[in-house]
Amino acid sequence: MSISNLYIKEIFVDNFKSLKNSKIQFKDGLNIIIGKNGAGKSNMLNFIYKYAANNPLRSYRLRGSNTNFSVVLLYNQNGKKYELSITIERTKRTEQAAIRDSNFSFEATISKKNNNKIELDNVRFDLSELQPRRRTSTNEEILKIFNIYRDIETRYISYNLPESENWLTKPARITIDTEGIVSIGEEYSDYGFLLNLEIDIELDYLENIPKKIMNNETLLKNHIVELLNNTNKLSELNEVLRKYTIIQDSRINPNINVYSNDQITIIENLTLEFLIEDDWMPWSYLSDGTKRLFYVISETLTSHTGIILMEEPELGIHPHQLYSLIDFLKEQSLNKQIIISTHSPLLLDALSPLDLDRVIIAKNNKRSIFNPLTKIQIKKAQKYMAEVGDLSYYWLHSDLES
Amino acid sequence: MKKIGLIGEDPNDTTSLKNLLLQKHPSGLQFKQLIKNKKGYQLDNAKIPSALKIEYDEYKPQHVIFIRDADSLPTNIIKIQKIKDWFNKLNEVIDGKGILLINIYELEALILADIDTFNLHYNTTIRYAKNVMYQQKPKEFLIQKTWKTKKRYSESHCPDLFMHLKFDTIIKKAAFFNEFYSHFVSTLKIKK
Repeated sequence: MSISNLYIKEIFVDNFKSLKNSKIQFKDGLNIIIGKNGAGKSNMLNFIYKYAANNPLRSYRLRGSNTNFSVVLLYNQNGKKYELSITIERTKRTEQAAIRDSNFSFEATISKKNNNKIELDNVRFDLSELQPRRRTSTNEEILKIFNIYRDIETRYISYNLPESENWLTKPARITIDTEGIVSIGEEYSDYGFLLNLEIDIELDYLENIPKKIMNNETLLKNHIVELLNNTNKLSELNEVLRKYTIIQDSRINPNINVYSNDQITIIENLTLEFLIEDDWMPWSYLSDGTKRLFYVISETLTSHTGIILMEEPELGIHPHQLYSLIDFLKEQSLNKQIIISTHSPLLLDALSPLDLDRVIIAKNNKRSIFNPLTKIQIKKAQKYMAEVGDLSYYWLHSDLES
Repeated sequence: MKKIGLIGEDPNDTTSLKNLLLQKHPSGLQFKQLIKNKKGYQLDNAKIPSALKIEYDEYKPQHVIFIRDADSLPTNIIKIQKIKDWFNKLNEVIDGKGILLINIYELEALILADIDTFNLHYNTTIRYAKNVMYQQKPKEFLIQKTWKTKKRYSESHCPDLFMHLKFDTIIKKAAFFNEFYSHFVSTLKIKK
């Protein structure tokens, strides 16, 4: 079952690290990529996050290279399936810093899958405006789906914790002026959950503070602490943390500092702290495995839909907790596309015999190749699962990857 | 204290059933999940009887409850029989001390049987008057119904939720559970 209504179906990429004429196909929901070290798994996830997910305009950053790619998206709406194909192709090599539109061709086609397949002529878009040069109802339809794709939340959960300073590692500050303009003190882009939490806090703050509280410093501080700790996002996170980790609760440090006058409010000393074994403690006191669990869970919960790219979620996680984490990810994959690279047999064992088409095998044969299981492999895998034990037995002791 | 072993497709299922039975029998029963971290299809594989035998010999439960989802309606006789065959095979390993609970479609059928408690917990107003024995995909039903609500249903909520479901209402409305429970109390020789 899938409720997710937009997902990446196929990516073709040429000339990005080990990805040369490399094609990969995905399903909605959960996808698991296995393969030896150096096969190109991380390169593919990296590529998707940096260039293919959300916004092909990011390809502007590919200046100086000659990477070309195409993305095929599947979009479900009211029972109809639309397939949107986007191609970004460098038509002229350049070493200029600024890339002009003329150096790329951006083409989009759409086909309505459940009706008779309608292949439309490629529609050229103006890259700077993202408007079709010819305005027709079909072009408008492409643009609508494209905009949904562009706005979809994508998170990249790497095998390392984010290095940038954030609420966890360093106290943060929020500045809100009377116009409602907010400035965020630090760079949070690699910690989407915290960024979204902060935006929620700011919206709540702006909407909910009565004037009489604004004039009293103690009341204001208490009010803000209560507001911060009652956001829906934090409540949802805490519910999941309790189920899947040893963290009983998390909260914003109550010892915040608030400075407020008619023009501006500054909230300082914002950090998250964690309740473990009935003691509140800072991020630095958490074990590496608990930090990693928090990272994987919170980033996956950043939004209710979207695309999650995840490298080796098993790292540092106890096998029983990994089983629980897999359950969590499977549940989340009902409304998100989750693409995981892994070396963990346990993760592979999470798949049912009906889900074997969600496994992708990566190989490096002078270039990265990504293949789904063949019909013969699926049949053999099902036999292993029924008669010998788990799918991982086939992976570890037979020829699944050869 | 009667020791009861549990085998199920998911820790949520076994813990939920344990919580439901403990509501009715808060003392005198001790439960233990005998095989952990196995999904439904993994319970069919060849290693399970050997693992179960080791756990059974070590824990020495008076009885073992096996919980499986039918993933179909009671009319799917072939599917139901397949689960019974699986149960009979494992029951031999534990000296015939097994009790089988086949959830019609899924565990969530029991939640539908007491939809008022669910509504209370999710702040919803779902009306459900159908016979739960004929509800296809009850899990999906609950997910869809809470898709846009503040709190969305998730199967990981089941263990908590089952502590609050009204036991007698479930007995009245879910025939498959009533049948299981009657068998359970008569086998354990305890009062209903």
